[in-house]
Amino acid sequence: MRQGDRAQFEDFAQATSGELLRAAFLMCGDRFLAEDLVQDTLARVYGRWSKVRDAENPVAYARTILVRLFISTTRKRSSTERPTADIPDQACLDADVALRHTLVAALRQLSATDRAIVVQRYLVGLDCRSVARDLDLSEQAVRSRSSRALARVREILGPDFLITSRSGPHE
Amino acid sequence: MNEHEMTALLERATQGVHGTEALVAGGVRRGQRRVRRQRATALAGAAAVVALVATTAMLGPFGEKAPNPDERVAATDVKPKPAEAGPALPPKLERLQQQVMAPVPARLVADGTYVGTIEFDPRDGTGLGTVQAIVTEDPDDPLLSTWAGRCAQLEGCSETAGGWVLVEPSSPDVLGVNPDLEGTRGFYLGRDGRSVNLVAYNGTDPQMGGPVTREDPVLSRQELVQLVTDPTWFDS
Repeated sequence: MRQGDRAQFEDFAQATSGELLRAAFLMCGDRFLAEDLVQDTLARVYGRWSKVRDAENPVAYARTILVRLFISTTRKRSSTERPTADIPDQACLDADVALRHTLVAALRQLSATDRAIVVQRYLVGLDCRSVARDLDLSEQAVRSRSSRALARVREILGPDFLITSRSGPHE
Repeated sequence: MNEHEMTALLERATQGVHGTEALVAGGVRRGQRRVRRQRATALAGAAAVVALVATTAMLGPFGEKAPNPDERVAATDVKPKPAEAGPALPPKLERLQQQVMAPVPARLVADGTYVGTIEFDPRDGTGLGTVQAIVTEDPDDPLLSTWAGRCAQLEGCSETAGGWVLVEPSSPDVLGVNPDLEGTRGFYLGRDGRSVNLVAYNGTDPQMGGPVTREDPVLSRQELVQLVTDPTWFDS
């Protein structure tokens, strides 16, 4: 890669790594796994940079790679991955940290695909069509799975969660 | 909880999660390694083709070992016969063949040459080994005019109804770093110009000198013969 191209790629990576890391963190439920996933994503984008930079939406391209890598690595790791059923004791944690732990624990009880759908739909803000394309599912499947996943998260968190979480310092 | 509340929760939960320079630098490093690996793989593929061409040149009409022109059999003198339709491959070899051919786009083989390298696990506890494959189809292959005479002079080469089969040791330790690295080559040339060249190793990453992962190459001589003469290579 030429020096100018590399600088351009680094600018792109700086600009998008935060968004990618936030999505990866919620999908993986672990900061280190999330960083690993983002670096693998950036590595793949790096290898195709001459094509990606001219694409209509390079950020969307990186997002697609991220979510597909996540699904693929989760399948490989499926024998070792265990959902976290225990929700940490919120009393001894700062409100936002507690929220993060609780939410991550709830998301980890969803399947990897459902987690990816929730993150793509509600954090990244993609429409069902884009999520369906990224995950190789039908739009209808994404719609019904996201709705079921939302209900499941609601059930795990309990009816009072929104009220208690609003009492944090940022609200 | 509705969709907007979910979005608000996810955003709050990821406050303070930011990309860092180290993260970007790590992505660049991995990207560079990945590009280097891809180039090395492409070079290895090219080297395998060069090795095949070199073998052809050595065993064919050039050099000291070239056969007497009188012994040559012109391609037109050889009646093309259909590829040998032997018995179906045993499951192990069928699995290997599928693994080799998995990344091949439809019709690629029919259009020319396919070079593939896989790490094959025979699932019998003896360990992984690399298998390289070169599958070609060229009715005008110059080897066709000379191979009949040449095969007769080569130990390990035999003539069959459909063509010629050669099994011989290969010399994988081209870097001189691992004398324990061994390989066995199976080569089939059909009278119709189809050829299959397979090399099975007793280790992985043979272009780089190892490591040795098994006692013997991952395919026996008999298995190589079965595989290279199997017509299924050209079914895709």
